[in-house]
Amino acid sequence: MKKIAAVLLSILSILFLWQLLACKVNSSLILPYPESVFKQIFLLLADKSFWPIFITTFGRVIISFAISVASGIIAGVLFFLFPFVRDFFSFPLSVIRSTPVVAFILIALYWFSSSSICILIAVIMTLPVIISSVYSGLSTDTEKLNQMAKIFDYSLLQRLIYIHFPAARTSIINGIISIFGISWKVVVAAEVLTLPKSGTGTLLQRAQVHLETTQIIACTIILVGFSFCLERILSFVLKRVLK
Amino acid sequence: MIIKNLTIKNNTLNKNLINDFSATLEEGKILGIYGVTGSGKSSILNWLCGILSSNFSAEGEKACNEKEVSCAFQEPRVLENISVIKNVCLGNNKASIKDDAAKILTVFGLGDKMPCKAGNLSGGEKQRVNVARAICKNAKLYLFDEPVASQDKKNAEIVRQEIKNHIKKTNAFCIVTAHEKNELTGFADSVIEI
Repeated sequence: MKKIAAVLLSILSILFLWQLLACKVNSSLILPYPESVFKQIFLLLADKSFWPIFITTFGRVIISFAISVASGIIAGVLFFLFPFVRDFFSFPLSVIRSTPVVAFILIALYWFSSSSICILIAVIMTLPVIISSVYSGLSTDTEKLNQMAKIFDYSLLQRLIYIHFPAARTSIINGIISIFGISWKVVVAAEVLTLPKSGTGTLLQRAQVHLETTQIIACTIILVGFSFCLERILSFVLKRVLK
Repeated sequence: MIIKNLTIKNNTLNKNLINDFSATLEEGKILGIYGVTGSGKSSILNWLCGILSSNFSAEGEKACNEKEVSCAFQEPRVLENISVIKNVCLGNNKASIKDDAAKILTVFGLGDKMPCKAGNLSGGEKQRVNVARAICKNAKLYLFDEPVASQDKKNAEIVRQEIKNHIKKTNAFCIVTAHEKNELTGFADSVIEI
């Protein structure tokens, strides 16, 4: 109850501060009023042409997310089983981790279509995160259970399924949830820079060109809201399924 | 079967834990080893299983194949996320493993808990699963590290009896550890203090 009250208070404080600053600036181009932004949100949500655009972005997020989760889990297991594979890929993964997203997007623009770049970049940016979550989870200390497994002749697969994966559960769930959030951010950022035919990022970019600040903020709030809700649903489902 | 001149050294403390320990095991008989906490009982069993921690180094002779050893650990080491029966059967390729497991779990008073997740059991129940798993494995040497430490009187007697019957029936070698000599009285055929 206290937590909900604190969150509500925080939201109200932000809205109050926003209103105060908007009054002070008094320019919808620089900072529109909260009221007009919320009006724009409802207009966007009611607009039939908005949903195909939003669904296209959502589709890219889901595809990149699925590729990352599947390949990240496989790679994490391989890293755990074969130290050579881990050492071999540790350098490229460190490079990817410290490279700005924009740099990847600009380079990829030469090679791929803008639509596939969004997915590719999201996979590149999220893959190191999920791999390290899976690997660190699997590396949790399970020495005593492994000794037991040795005496009772467990196969490698049985050890993975019954000893290592249960120990890695929390780490894997946290990794999956965090890359879902990152996927949203990266896909939209890539759309803004690569301007595919359809996409929320393209919509944001066009609004920016036409100086429609209200539209940019409204669209951003919709994206944040959806990402937040879907992340919560995903977290709930994963905790149930992987219980 | 013999254990000859076993010396186990704790490398961290740079101190010998076990000094020149020897013992002879007989087929179908239980050898009891008792001693205070930290005297090295578990380390002897771990050495026999081939799972002695890297903090220790050991020298000595043992006439047994690690593959033919079964062990019930001091702490249950059950897989909490899977069922009680699966804990007993996992890794065991015996054709009759399911029947054997069901039979022994029923004797141990866990018949109705076989489909339950092992994580939901009490400490004593987990310990009985641990013992049941060890008994179900086909082995030449059985090791039981304080198998009745967390059992009430009635269950402790059931566990002792089941171990005794199994060792007699299979004519295997067996070592059981305990803190006190009286815990081994009427259970072990011979005892050694360390």
